Amino acid sequence: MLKALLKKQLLEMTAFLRRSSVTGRSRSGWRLAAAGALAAALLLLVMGSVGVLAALLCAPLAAAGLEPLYFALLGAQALAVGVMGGGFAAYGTLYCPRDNELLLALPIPPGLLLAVRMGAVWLWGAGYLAVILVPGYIAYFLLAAQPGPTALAMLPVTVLLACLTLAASCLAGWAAAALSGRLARYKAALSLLYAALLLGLAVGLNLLMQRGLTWLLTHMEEAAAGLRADAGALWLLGCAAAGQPAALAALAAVSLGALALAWLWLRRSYPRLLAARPAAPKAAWDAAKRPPRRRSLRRALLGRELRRLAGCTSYMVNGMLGSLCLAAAAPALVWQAGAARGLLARLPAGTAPALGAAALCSLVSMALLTPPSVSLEGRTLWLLQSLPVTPWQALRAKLDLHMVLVGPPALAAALAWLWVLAPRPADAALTLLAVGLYALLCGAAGLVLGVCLANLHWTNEAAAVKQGAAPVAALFVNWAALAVLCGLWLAARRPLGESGALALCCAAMAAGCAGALGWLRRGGAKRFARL
Amino acid sequence: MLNIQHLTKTYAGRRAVDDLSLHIRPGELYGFIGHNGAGKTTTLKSCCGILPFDGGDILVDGVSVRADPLACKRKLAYIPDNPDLYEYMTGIQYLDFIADIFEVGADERAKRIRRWADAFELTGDLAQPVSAYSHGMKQKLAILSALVHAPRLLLMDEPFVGLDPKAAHQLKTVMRQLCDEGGAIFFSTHVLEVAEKLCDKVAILRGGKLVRAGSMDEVRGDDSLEEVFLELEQEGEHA
Repeated sequence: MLKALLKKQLLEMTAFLRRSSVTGRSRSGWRLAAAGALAAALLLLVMGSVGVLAALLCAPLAAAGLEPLYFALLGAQALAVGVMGGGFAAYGTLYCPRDNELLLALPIPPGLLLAVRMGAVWLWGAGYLAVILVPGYIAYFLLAAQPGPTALAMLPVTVLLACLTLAASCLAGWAAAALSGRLARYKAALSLLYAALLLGLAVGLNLLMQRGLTWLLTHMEEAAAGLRADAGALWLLGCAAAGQPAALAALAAVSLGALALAWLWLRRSYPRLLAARPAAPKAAWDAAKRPPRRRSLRRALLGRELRRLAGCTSYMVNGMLGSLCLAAAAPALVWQAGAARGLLARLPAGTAPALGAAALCSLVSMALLTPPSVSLEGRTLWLLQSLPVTPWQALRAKLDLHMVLVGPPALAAALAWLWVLAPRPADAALTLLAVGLYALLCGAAGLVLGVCLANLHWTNEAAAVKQGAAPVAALFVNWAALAVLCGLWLAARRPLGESGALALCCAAMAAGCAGALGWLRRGGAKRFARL
Repeated sequence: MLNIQHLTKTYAGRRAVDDLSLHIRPGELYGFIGHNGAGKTTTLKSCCGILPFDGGDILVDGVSVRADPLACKRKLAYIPDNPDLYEYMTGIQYLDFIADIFEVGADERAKRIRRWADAFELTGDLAQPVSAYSHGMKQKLAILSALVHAPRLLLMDEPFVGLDPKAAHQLKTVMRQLCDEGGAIFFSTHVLEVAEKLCDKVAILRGGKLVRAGSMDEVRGDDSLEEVFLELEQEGEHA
């Protein structure tokens, strides 16, 4: 029985490699090899990046005899990544697996089921830890003078940290499961907020890391003393990872103790958790309180697109990235107006409006709302086909969605830029026109790709959004279009002047929009109707 | 109301529907039966403009589905066998969406939604997301969305699958009522007893071809519909 459960769990964990999430079919032969090679390549890329960063820290810290500081920083990063990744794994594997009822109907002791699932979460956690720890240790082995004692500690430290990660992940996963039932109604808004926070955190951490690294390398002793005084637990972790036996024993006690507590707590509550249903309060419909209002066909179709966006987390997060960046750019430009003006002063005269427009357009390029919108119709396409709605009306609604969500933040960012720049009225008008036309061009081009490369047979919405051919192609097409426009501006700058060149780019974009929209109305609509 | 004239539809060289002609008049409840893969769903989808067809024509109240599909779709409603609805909407949002497409006024739609939601006992679940609905509830919602715009022609593909007995009874009452008021219904079913009791006329399809059609009495004679159907299937196997 244990062997059968372990085999099932391993098959689940490796399903993303063996099965295509676009078609739902098994991969075989070269496709399987290619998926495995791609996964391995991505993993090596991430580990390589971590290794380079670790090497930057390791050489000076090891030379100064501050191995515990090095390993404390490494361990802290590994724990953070491990708990975040492990938390997601715990949420999906322990608390929200789809086969609960199937397995509960079989003669499987709940304790055994829990043990196997916790084992899977432990493996995931260990994997996430290894992405940080392994390159960190390799950097140490290559750069330290005497890596011997530390070598012996690598495996036990990874195993013990995985146990600590498992305990923390079980708690994090439980919190996520408990909240998601109660906050299901706000899932879309929370996902967007989460994505915005992650984006802000990534940018902020990047800035902090640059300054932090510089300070650390020039104040190593001070940093070590500070860590020992203020974060004794981290210092202990660093000592354990460096191979000090007493610290290792302490780490073992804490990790195994935490694991034991997590096991005891879950062992008692797991049978109840398995059979529990989400506890979201049931909303009631009352026509008197919310009387229906009639909307026009165009608004009804736009409402449908907005609801689809709000109902699909991956679509929202991926599609709104450009809008988020544009919305953040507006206040950022106003806040850092002084620095921006200083930078502008160093540019050749007359180039700032075009450069600003190009920078804003590069953010618009990341708005990928239209490319996956056709594929996302999926199995519900029959609804549109059976209703008195023309194919062009359905496509136009997708374009409306793009313009409604990208237009206002692009306009806000452009106005902020113009406030910083204070250009001539003609240049200001051209900048606004350029950004607006580029937004329309990206939306229309994305929709053309969405119609031509539609894939309605996905099993997972995220596959249609992230892995479909249309979104990937659209990203390249957007960047290529921007590069072509920049080249056109540079070529036309001499004969026509900076403003004339920008006007020419606007004309080119207007022609592109007319072409794309014209195709969508005729050929695109026919193609959509035949899907 | 619905005039299918020499309808032919081919998939990858195979004729799924072969020269089918049927006429469903106002007031008629027309059943459509056949084995799995006989071409029933293909016929229904062609009638409501979802599938293009290769030969013949389909007229809804004299208007060709080929020539003016929108005008035809405004008069009919289609309920598929497996209703894949918008899971990201609540039941009421979905009904409002359909009502907006068909330009149903606010007061009228509120009246109809309340009437049919109460009849099918779905009122308490209209505020829930469709993703939380069972199959039967989705089927009921699909039926409600068809009734909210009071269509003249109802095309249904195995509408009783997944419905509880009370809802099935309610649907039969609604179907009869719609036909008595001058509408028409063309539906496929595998439940021959329901077809026998409910339908005014029936057509039997085998391998894409019409093998028998007419009033219930004409088609079954002294036998039951099941016996006639099985006999025709056996004849087809031996041919």
